[in-house]
Amino acid sequence: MIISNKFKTVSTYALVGLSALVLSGCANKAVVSYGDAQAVETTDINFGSTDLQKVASQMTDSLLSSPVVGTMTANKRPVVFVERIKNKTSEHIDTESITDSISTQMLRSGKFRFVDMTRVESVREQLTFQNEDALVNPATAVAFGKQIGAQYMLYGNLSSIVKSNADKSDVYYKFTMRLMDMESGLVEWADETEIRKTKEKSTFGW
Amino acid sequence: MRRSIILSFCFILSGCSTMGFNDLFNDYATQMTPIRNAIEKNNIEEAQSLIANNSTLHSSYLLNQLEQARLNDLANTPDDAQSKFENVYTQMQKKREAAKIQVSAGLEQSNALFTNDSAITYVPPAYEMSMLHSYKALNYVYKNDVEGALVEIRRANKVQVDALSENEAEVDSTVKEAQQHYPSMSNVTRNIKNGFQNAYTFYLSALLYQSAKQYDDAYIDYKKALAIQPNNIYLQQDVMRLAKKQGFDQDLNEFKKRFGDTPTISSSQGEVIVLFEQGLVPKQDEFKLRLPIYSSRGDARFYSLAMPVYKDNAYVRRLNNINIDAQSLALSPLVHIEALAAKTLEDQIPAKVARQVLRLVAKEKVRAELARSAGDVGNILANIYNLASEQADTRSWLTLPNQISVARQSLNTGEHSVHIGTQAPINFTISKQGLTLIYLTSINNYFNYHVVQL
Repeated sequence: MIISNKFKTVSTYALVGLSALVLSGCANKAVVSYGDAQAVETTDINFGSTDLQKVASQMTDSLLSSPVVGTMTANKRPVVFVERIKNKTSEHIDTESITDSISTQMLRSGKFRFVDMTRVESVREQLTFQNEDALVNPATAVAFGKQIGAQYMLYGNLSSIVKSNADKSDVYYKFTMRLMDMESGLVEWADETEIRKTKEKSTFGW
Repeated sequence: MRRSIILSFCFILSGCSTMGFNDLFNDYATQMTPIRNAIEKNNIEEAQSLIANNSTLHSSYLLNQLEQARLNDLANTPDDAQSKFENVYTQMQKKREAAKIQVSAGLEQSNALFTNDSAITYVPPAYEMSMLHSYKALNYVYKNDVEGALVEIRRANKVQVDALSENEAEVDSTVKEAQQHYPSMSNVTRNIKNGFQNAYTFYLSALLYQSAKQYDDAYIDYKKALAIQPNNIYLQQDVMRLAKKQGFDQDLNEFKKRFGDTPTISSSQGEVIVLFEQGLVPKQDEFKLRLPIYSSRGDARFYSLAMPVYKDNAYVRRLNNINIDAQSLALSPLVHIEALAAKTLEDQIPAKVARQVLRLVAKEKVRAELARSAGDVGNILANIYNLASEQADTRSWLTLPNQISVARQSLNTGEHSVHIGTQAPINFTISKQGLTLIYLTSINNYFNYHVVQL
């Protein structure tokens, strides 16, 4: 009799479990909504939009407010090219998107001008077409050899240290950026920014 | 009473919602046999059509994704493989960050009590995760994306570091007691220290760091690989060359005492690195473990439990030499994946035995109750169910290779060719101070290769 009592309790639990499964299946209704693009995003511990925005804005602020850059841009608008940000983290991060944000904000300030190395091939293709194809009026064709060479190079590193144990996981990002005068080889400006994110595990969950 | 029986069967079947009907009465290794045979016959298409397509709810979902991704790699469709591998990685990351005590995990354990261990969600062990990251890294390398590959290498490294820290816990005496009842797997494990440190992953990592000119990082990983495979002559040479290059004189002198001198590579030459994976990792077999169980009245009865085991080294048709131009070059093993798999299983034995005993008691209780309420018919039905559902949990990544070995040679710049067994020669180019990686896969009649300039 004891056993059958136990059975009844077990089967009650089973029913509860089963109905929970069924109900969880029905509760799936997708909702689409617009959010604030600048809002803090904490979906998970990985590199996210907030980190990207933070890194880009801190770097641009630091660069534009640096006294050296102030004298550099006092009477002219130096031409810069963005080399790239080396990804040394444990995540596949689109570092081009970080450099895009930084160069856009620098351009907006009106103090710098940029040449875009990522589009050189398409420019070459277009100029070749303009100058060599009979379809184009030669008077309107953009001539070769008129582009301006960059004086400064912007480059950097993004590295991370990831640690985790049974209770929490922790990730630390360090973003370093430098501006080099390509003629003299001197690094005119450098700065770094750090981000630490920690996720504590909850004790209970489904 | 009849209601409670029906409900108890509902309970059992709800356990099966995470398993297919096939999984309840057929163990994983048996289900995978036709797929493995198809690969060995060089018919990847057939293998891909035979493999199950498990839903995300299935308890072996992650394992199924791993198998499918590997088949994609074998079929030369790396993009499909990459997305499946990445999926497994993100799922595992979610698991790691999940709550410490999970209701669903508890339910699974109780479901497993009435069915078998296959009802428990398969979590790929560390050696499978490090192989996943290695394959992902290789796929990035084939696309000439060394930076992306290095991301995977760092992930693989973290898998091994985490496994090491989790493994530090002392093995207690009850665990040792349970291990005594198990047949020895030492001829398969080859007495390796643990089931997660993989010299192949370290070697790949070192090679990529070397190509990215991060020589210190490369040196550390070559040294780690050498610690696992101290007799590998290529590793000895690599470590000594880098020690010399980086000026680690103390290390270099010690290595010279152990291994003798190493020939230098002239700066006008380049190197070819051949990584060769051969065979398929052996599957786990089932064996009956006989354990005495004491009933409440104190009398002992012997029950046999179905447990997984690696019986013996798998026979693999293996090549030990390759020819570069006219020169013969010995292949030196980096990893025996069967050893890692067997060692991992060995470490899981205590938990598996403990669960089996609990399951035995639970199933016996159900049988006794059915016999009491439904007479002989109930008794027979319960016995049949218990016998049929008692399956060893033989799940493991079964499309992995058996052994991966390396050969490395400095060559003059220009065109060369490598001859492997009866295959047509593979041509490759050596550039000045460059590294050329040739990655070969051979599984019986299946043969595939990639050539990349690092």
